[in-house]
Amino acid sequence: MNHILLVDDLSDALAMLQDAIEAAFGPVPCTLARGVGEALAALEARDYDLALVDLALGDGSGLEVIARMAQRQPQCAVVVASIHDDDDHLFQALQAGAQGYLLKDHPTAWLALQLQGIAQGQPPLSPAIARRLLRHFHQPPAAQASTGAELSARERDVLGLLAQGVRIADIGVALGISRHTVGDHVKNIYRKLNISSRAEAALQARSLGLI
Amino acid sequence: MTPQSPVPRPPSLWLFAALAFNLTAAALAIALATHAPWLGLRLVPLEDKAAVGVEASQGPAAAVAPGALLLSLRAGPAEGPVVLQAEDLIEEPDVMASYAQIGAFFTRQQRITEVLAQPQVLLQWQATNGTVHETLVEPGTRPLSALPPLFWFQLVVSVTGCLIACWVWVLRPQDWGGRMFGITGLSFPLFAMPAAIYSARELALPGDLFFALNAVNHWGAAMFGAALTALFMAHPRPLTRPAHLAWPFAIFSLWWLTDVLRVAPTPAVGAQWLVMTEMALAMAFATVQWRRSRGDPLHRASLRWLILSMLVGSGLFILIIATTAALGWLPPMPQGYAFGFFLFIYIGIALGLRRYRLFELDEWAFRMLMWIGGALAVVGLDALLILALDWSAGPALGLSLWICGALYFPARQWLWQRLAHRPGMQLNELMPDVVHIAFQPSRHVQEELWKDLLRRIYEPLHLEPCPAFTGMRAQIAEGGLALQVPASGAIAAHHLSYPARGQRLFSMKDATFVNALCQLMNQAESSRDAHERGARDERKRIARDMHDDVGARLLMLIHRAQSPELTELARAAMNDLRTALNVMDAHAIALADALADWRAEATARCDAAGVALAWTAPQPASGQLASRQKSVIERALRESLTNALKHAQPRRIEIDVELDGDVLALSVRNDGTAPDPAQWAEGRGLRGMRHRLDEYGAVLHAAALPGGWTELSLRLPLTPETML
Repeated sequence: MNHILLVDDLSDALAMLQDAIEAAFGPVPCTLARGVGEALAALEARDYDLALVDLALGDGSGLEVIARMAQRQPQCAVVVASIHDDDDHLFQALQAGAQGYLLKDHPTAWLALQLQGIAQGQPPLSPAIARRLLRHFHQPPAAQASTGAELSARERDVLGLLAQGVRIADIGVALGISRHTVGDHVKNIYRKLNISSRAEAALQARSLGLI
Repeated sequence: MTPQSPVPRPPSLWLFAALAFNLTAAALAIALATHAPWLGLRLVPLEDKAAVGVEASQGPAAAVAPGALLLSLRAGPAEGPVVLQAEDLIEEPDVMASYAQIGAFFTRQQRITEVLAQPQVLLQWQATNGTVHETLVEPGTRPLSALPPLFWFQLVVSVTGCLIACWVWVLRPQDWGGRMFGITGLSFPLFAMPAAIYSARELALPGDLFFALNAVNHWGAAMFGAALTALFMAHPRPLTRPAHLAWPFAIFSLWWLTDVLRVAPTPAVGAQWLVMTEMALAMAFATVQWRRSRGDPLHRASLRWLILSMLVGSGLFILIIATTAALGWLPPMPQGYAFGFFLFIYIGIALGLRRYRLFELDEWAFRMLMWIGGALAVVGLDALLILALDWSAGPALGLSLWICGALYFPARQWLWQRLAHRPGMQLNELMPDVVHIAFQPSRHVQEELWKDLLRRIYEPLHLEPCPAFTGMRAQIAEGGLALQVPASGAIAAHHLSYPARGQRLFSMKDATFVNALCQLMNQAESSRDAHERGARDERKRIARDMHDDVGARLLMLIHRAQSPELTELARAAMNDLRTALNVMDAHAIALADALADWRAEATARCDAAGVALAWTAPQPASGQLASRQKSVIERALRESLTNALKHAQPRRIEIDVELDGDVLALSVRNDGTAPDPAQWAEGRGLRGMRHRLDEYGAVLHAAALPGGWTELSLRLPLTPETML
């Protein structure tokens, strides 16, 4: 872990996130941004390994930062740090390119654990989000077929078990694969969601005559 | 292709064979019609003067003035003249009263032919001013252009009829009805082409040829009728074994022999009675078929069409002939054109046999009946006025047209309302039902109500969902037996068959109606969606504000609180805020989904505390939870986990969820070091839980189990009363 970007409009939250990062990875240099403008400027300035982005920012939506980051620095893991746990908010963020999410009110130790998980390729995925993903990939919009963003059979299996509330370690046992492989599947699912969402947006724009 | 199955011949091959047969017959007819020596005159019989009139002249006899009377023919100045009579031009000799007259007619035809066969013929004719002329003419060969339109008309009718029949037969080669129809088609050229030849003759044909053509014409007509009789013996359902279908052909062939051999008492008995008998027999069998097809709408519709076309065809024939003969207000029509009516019958039968859009034919049948009925009423009244009251033709026609017109349209409207436009449901009457269905919360209930509605409208014998049907508009299938209703809103497509308990077929009107119904349904659903969207947007706005304001403050509290207890309190408040806001999203949630959420949360918390979790839940779980029910259980589960993890320091926690009828039973057990629940001082958490659970009729129970386990269990009834 070389450099981390933290985006939040509350100083308390930034401090808490820094604590969690320290607990998870030790001392790592962090760039702090208090709004969309600052964040966009910061992500042009250098490369990051990890970005924690709040959704409700004073001067706009964190979704914008997430989308730009996914586009400019695909190697950077983008994680939503929010107090929203409803799948509407989270799903939008995932579609924009986020690869995980944290709830900021969780204890710092728990946040640190989750951060370590994300860094080791174990992104969290709640059953509600998994169900949402299953629904999303179930209806075959034209965009999915053309972009190769359909799920593989294994990815569907993983998603199905996640939707039933089975944790990643147990999924590995059930499917006879390592928990890291399960984590890779989850990351791929997030990636495909992002691809298919972008393709759909493009398709929609084309049908509206925008491009 | 396996060797056992014979290679079926392609239908087109048979149709080409039929076409070749027809073209050969037509070529033969043309050759025979142009073979006789030709004068170049167009002659008309003048019954009142018992003479032959010249309508037009060209070619060899161009010198004869139009309008003249052709008096006689002579082979040369030395030969005796053949004096011409109007009768020589008769179109069809069967109408003569006796075989002796027919014999004499053929003899005269032979004599005239012999005269015309001479190189030169002397024509004696009387001009319009009364002067008598003699012209020497060299008969030539008749050019094709000199054949009258009537000839071509009969030829075309013959070829068309034959091809229609062959088409039906080729498509239904295994069906006895189709085969019999094919035979009627083959007999078409037999009766139509000879008639075409002799009705198109200029003046005469060789006697023997005329006799032979007449005999072939009669046999063709007899076979046509025999095949029609056999058709109704075999279609739609066989009344006898197929072997018995040969009887009509045998019997009527014998009858025909009595005509050819001049054994029959009169030509009428030999020819016309034969055809009448056949038609009567065909109608009799059709009536039997009609009775037998009760309860079989497809057969009924097919029969209705067959019988109707026969009635309409023969009705028109009688109408025209009767009008021409009795009332005199239409120009006399050559009988050859009457073959056109056969073609009419014919197309009708072909459609009936092919079951082509039977569901639409009913309406057409009604229109045609009304039309024929109206025309017959005018003619009948006209005849009554002329014959009974001795009116003159002009005013009689005018008055009868007026009277019938005045009565016809109201009568037609009334009948239409009674018969064709069945007293069904009006779309506006169904509006409340549609809206009621659209606003049902459960898809299942929606579907049941929709089915009920379709049942009420169409009374089908069968009704089933048909997700395979993806059309946007209703479709009539299986020849009108079935109607496919498209999916509308969340409701699947349906397949209805045998409407009105099997009494009728679906019509295009039904399809149009159900399309309108589906459209109404879609509109009702989309307006419901719009309403819900509005409410949801509003809820979301409130939720967002609560999150952003209250949530942010709680978050600050969590991170700034000086004591762990305060932090925990703020965190619990945050959780409750979330649950409360989620409840606002008032959708019911599947029990299976709720179980998944609870399991994930319990697993995560036990993992974080390093406690082993055993989770047991019904699988698969079916059923729904109202979002409030979900939230109350969720909070109870969260609270009991918190208590167990905080106070008991367990190594293992077991969570059981069971569905016992309509009761959801949840138990949380731990092996920790908790005191006996009997001595618990109920904290705020447990009290709050109990209070909330009371509202939902739930029972909370804490107990110490043998082996040092402590159990907290709750039972929550999932009755619909708690849905709100």
